[in-house]
Amino acid sequence: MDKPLILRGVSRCSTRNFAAWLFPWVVLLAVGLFAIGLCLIAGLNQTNMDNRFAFGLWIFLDLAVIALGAGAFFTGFLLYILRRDELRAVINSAVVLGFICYSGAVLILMVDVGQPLRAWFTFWHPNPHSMLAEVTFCITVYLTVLAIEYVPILLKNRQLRKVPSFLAFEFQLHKVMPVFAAVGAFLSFFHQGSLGGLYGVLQGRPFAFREGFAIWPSTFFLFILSAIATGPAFVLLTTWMVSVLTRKRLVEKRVLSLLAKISGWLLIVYVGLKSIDTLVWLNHTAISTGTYPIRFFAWQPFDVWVLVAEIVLLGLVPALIFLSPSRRQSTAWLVTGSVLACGGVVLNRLVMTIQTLAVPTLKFEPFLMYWPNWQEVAAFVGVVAYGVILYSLSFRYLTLFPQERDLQQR
Amino acid sequence: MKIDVTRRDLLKFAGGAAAGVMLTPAPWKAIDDLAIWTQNWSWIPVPPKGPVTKRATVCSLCPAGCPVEARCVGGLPVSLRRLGAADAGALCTLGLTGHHLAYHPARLTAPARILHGSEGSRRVPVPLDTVMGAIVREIGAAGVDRRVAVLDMRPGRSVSWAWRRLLDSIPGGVLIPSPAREGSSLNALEAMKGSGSYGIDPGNARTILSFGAPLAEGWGAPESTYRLLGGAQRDLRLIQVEPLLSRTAQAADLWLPARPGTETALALGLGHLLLRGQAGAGAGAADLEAYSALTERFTPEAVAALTGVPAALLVHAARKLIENGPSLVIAGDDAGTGRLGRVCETAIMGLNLLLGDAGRSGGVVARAALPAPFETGSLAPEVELDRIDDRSIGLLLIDASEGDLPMPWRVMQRKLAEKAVIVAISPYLAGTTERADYVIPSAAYLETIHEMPTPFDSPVASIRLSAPLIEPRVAAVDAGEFVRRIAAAAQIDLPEEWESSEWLMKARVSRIHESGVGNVTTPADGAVQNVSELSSADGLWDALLAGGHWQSEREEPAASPYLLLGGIAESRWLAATSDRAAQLTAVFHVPRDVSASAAVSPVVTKIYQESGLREAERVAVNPVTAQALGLKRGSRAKLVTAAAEMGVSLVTDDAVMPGVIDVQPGPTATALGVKRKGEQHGLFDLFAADEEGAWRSMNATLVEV
Amino acid sequence: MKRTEPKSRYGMVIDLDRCNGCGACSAACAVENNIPPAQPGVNERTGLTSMRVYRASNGRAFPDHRTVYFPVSCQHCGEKTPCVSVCPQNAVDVNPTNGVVSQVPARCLGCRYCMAACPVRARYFNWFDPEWPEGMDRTLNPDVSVRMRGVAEKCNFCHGRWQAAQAKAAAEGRREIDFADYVPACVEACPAQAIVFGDLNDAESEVAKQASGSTAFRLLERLGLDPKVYYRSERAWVRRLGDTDFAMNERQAARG
Ligand SMILES: Nc1nc2c(c(=O)[nH]1)N[C@H]1C(S)=C(S)[C@@H](COP(=O)(O)OP(=O)(O)OC[C@H]3O[C@@H](n4cnc5c(=O)[nH]c(N)nc54)[C@H](O)[C@@H]3O)O[C@H]1N2
Ligand SMILES: Nc1nc2c(c(=O)[nH]1)N[C@H]1C(S)=C(S)[C@@H](COP(=O)(O)OP(=O)(O)OC[C@H]3O[C@@H](n4cnc5c(=O)[nH]c(N)nc54)[C@H](O)[C@@H]3O)O[C@H]1N2
Ligand code: SF4
Ligand code: SF4
Ligand code: SF4
Ligand code: SF4
Ligand code: SF4
Ligand SMILES: [Mo]
Repeated sequence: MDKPLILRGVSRCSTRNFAAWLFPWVVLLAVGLFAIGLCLIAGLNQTNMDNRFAFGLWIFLDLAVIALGAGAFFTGFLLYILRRDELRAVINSAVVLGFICYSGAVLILMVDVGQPLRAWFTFWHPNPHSMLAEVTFCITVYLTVLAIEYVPILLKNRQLRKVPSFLAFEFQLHKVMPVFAAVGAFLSFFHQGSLGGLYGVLQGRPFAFREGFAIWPSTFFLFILSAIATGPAFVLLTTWMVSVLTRKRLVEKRVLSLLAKISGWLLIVYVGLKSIDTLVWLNHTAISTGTYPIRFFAWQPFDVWVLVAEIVLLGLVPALIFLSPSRRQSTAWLVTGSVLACGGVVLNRLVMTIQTLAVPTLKFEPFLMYWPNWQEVAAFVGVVAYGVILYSLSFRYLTLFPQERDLQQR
Repeated sequence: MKIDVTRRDLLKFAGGAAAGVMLTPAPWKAIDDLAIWTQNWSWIPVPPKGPVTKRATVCSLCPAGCPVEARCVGGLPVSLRRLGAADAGALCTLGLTGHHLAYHPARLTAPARILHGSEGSRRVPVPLDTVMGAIVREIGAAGVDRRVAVLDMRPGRSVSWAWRRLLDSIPGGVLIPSPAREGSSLNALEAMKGSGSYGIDPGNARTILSFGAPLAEGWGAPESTYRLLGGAQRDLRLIQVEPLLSRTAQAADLWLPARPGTETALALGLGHLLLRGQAGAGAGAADLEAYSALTERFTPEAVAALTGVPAALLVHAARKLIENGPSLVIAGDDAGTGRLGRVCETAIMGLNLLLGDAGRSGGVVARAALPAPFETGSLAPEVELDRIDDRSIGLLLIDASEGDLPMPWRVMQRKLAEKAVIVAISPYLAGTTERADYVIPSAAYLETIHEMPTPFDSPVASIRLSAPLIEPRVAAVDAGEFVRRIAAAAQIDLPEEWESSEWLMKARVSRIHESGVGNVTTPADGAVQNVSELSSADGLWDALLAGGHWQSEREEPAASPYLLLGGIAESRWLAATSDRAAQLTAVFHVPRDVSASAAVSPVVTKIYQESGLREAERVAVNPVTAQALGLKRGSRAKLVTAAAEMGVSLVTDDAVMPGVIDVQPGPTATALGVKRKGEQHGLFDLFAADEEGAWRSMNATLVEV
Repeated sequence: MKRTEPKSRYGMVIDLDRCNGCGACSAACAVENNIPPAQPGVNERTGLTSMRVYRASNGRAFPDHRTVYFPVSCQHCGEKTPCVSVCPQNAVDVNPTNGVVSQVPARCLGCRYCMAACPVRARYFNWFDPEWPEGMDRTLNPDVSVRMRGVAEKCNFCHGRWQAAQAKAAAEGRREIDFADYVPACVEACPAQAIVFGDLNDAESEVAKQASGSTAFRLLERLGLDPKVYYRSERAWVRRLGDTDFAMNERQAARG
């Protein structure tokens, strides 16, 4: 039925099967939109956030999603700036993933703020000292860049290619793509860092506060590193998932292996620096503000194991997997490593967002925990559904994996 | 000329127009309007505008009668603060937010009949005549075994006299003063001295020994709180006897944590020490020998074993009382928490007599009574609730209630006859009012003139008037007028010609003026004017309505003999001092400031709901007790007393004495302004009065559920 | 944030030996600043308590147990004011002449980053539309506008009263306000007069004298944020409670 839209030479499931696949996601999207509507109309009292947990599930997952979405800019950076041409095989998928991650995050952010209609005030009365202003600027601009990067992929669609001016436009765009990749990379390095800075500058929260260089706390650099280290792992993971779901070979194995190798090296650097940072933080930064850091881990569920899990199990272990050439040959190991690496960055963002707020600062404050309610979960799942739908459509009608046709014909 | 418009031209034009629009203010205006709209949603309340004025009045929300300055906008109060010298303290939370009360959602707007069914109660509006019909019917059936009683929550007002005049013409008519009023323990003194009217003089005391009176939590005038907590020299020493480290005990210089129910033994133990430590103690007592014999066995060690207070602390406290006089000994008797009982109050008041501070400045003082509004003639008696026979009241009229009776309903219930009719006059339909058969709306605070007769902790007679600032928001019934209407309907002839409460107050003020006694203080500037200098009674009335405070002069003490044991039989003394060490006791503890009222300002949620400062319904035990009972903090438990049992969520708190269950009710949702029907202070129901008329503590058990 | 040293430093000293936790300051603040009452379901985590009174203790068992109450409002941090530096759109303002930190509710986006940043959690979020029982809006303070839902708020040292004092000074041709005309609502309402307010830079003022006393301290002083709210107590264990080395006590640990 939708054959004319599908690239010649690749096989896609029937329209009917495709619709059946989309249906549950559409339902989830609808439920999510309903929850979002509730929050916008009745206010944020519809969530389980409170004055202590001013940030909750949404900010945590936004941060996680943005870190994972780093795969887009970093792949672009490797491809266009560092000329790792093998990565052309996944760049389109990475761009679409990046677009989904960032647009989803911005959408959720707009629900998360109390007065979304005033969001533009940040551009009107920006506070240059605020990490959040930096983040807002970079993310909005970068989302535009991602949208621009999306356009040529879109224009390559079989039907759209038939419009001559589109084809010309696409060709022009293609020539300047390295420029956008460069801009995107710069913005991304910066806002990934600023997202880390968001917490590192909190001098009033000894759990989050970090020393650093110039105006940037160490979390600025650690967030960049952890994002670019797990970004490729996330591209690897999603590529694998799509290939399992569609039962197709999408990229050559060596592409995945390369992604893993890059991820591995960056992870090992990250783990090293994160360990040093943790030691400095526990033995110097926190102590100098009169805090006994052992108390940071005095309450369940945020035991010391969280720290160990984050650095060793979800940092060092995947790094070692990725750095072993023999393991890199095994899809199972690649996937395991990717899951662990992505889990590590998610746990890190959870700790920075939730534990920072859960731990008391005043002696007479209680330790508190927070659980999201259905509205928060549904809104987020709705955004995930939006992502799945957009990605599915893109996969079906656009060329996300240029090697797919060749691999199929071989 | 032919105009050729191509598609390209059109596009160019559109593009140019779009760019042009960006250069006009229109899009920016649109954006700005959008932002302004987010700041001015139509459903956001807008504060009133109007001329700002300041007006003086008096807080009538508790007997203390604090002078108030109201800041009014367009004539209506938007904030209240205490008027006058800073060292008199400030308004309490209830008073501070009192201007909200007239707008309380629980306001009663019209007379109603309340139908009590198994499914809860239902309110049906009825004309006032229907209520009157029920009252007249009951008056017709009245006799000594089916009394007509007026429960007067503010005894001593001019209208109290009117009630007593009316009741005098009804067989078995009595006026019952609120059983839970502060200062009611002073009645024990009357019995011990044989006659006279007594007050206390905490303002001049240097040491106060308080048996659970929440002195720093709103017991009495805020001056005491201020002297205790904030006084520049901190010249007042407080010894607090209490089974938990309350906010008052925390502020005390010495905390004597005594097992609840052993206060009598503690007082006798102190009597034992005073007799031996102070020359001439008890010399004026006619029953000194009997007292001496009774206290003989209450040695510090024996008392320590009974009460849990270490002997050394007891000796120390007695020494402080003797050395740092004048010393005043008071008994907790505040609303809600309830009285300690007649025997205990006698033991406590006896300490004042032993210390020789009765009649002395800074101790217990003789105090003139306020003039009655009319030549008294024949009046129905004023009888304390515990002296009323059980099941003897056929018609109960509740006057001057703010909605809730500050006591367990059970205490009142056992006095009611079969099918008794209850009529409540109240501004709110909340709390106990909902137990009545008929309710009649009265004016709320600041809606009418309220009379504030002598507060219990004043050493002299005194009167203040609370001037209205708000137009009544409901068709309120005035008690003075209501008494007249009852008389007319029941064909009772009343000799006096009053028409209303205001008439009665004016009559009283004019009799004060006639007497020429005392003076009026203007709180704003502290100016004092002698009554004898005022040319007319109207002048005194106007001064009072402007916030003035009339006070009589101090009375000379009468050195009459007294009975330290109040003529109470030895068996009752022994019963009151029996050993309770093995028992788990629940104490009823109502933080005085806001929690005992049927209606409080909704912003009190800041204290109860929005911060962890107070729990709304708290049942707390010491962690040691919890452990002994096998219970944990937060665990669900069943609290069982002889009166009732109730499921509770347990709190552990080191501030509570082991073996004690601290039961603290907070304001109900209705009291905080949430419309909810038929809600009561559940925790109140756990308590019932003992044979002494007290409900401060009950033996209890706690079991896990 | 480069800022010229303000001429005055408005601040307060709260005497914890006087305070007995009555909560009148909390209620007075709500009355003065048109802070709405809680809606059903609001709890201690979602309430609006610009002045919030915490109960703390020496952590010892009966009969040595002793309690203390900490009234905590915005501490008006002077150095690197966390909430000011993090706000993306300058919705928090430091008065350049007196150092008072105030919220500009009409500009606030409601991102709540300032709340995460505030060391004493003195910032609250309007989770609900403000609502008073019918008719009670007649009692609102005309000098303070009602905040809409979705914005952050906190103590601003009773901005409305400050403006009134300024207007009065201007009308009388004075350049300086008289602190007799500028008494914050919580200070006025405290039955124990536990709170002293004034200019910390005026060495003659009561507030400056008390703040420099040996028993004065500030909350989390070692974080280096230079707050302008001081506390004082003769009791050493009370002073230690203001420090950063947070230790659990039974009551608090069991919560949450
Ligand atoms: N520190 C601090 N910051 C604040 C506030 C605060 O109280 N303190 N208040 C906040 C609030 S509530 C608001 S609404 C904003 C307002 O802040 P802004 O939107 O910045 O408003 P203004 O600075 O008052 O004026 C905006 C500009 O519009 C220009 N202008 C005037 N008329 C026109 C016209 O017809 N067309 C065009 N194009 N321009 C015009 C003016 O010259 C001025 O430069 O500030 C917010 N920021
Ligand atoms: N002359 C003149 N008039 C104007 C304007 C102008 O530029 N010039 N601007 C207009 C505009 S755009 C606006 S938006 C309005 C603004 O007018 P308002 O809405 O009255 O704004 P403000 O007076 O700046 O601040 C709002 C009130 O909130 C209180 N407040 C602020 N933060 C907090 C807090 O955290 N807690 C508590 N409890 N209270 C707080 C302040 O004390 C203040 O009384 O004025 C309008 N009127
Ligand atoms: S103490 Fe009594 S009179 Fe004074 S403000 Fe409080 S309620 Fe009113
Ligand atoms: S105490 Fe909190 S709200 Fe107040 S200035 Fe400091 S950071 Fe800002
Ligand atoms: S919540 Fe408002 S004041 Fe706080 S950081 Fe965000 S915009 Fe600024
Ligand atoms: S100074 Fe004003 S705004 Fe601040 S806590 Fe006190 S009453 Fe509230
Ligand atoms: S009003 Fe005064 S005594 Fe009461 S809690 Fe506040 S500071 Fe403490
Ligand atoms: Mo505005």
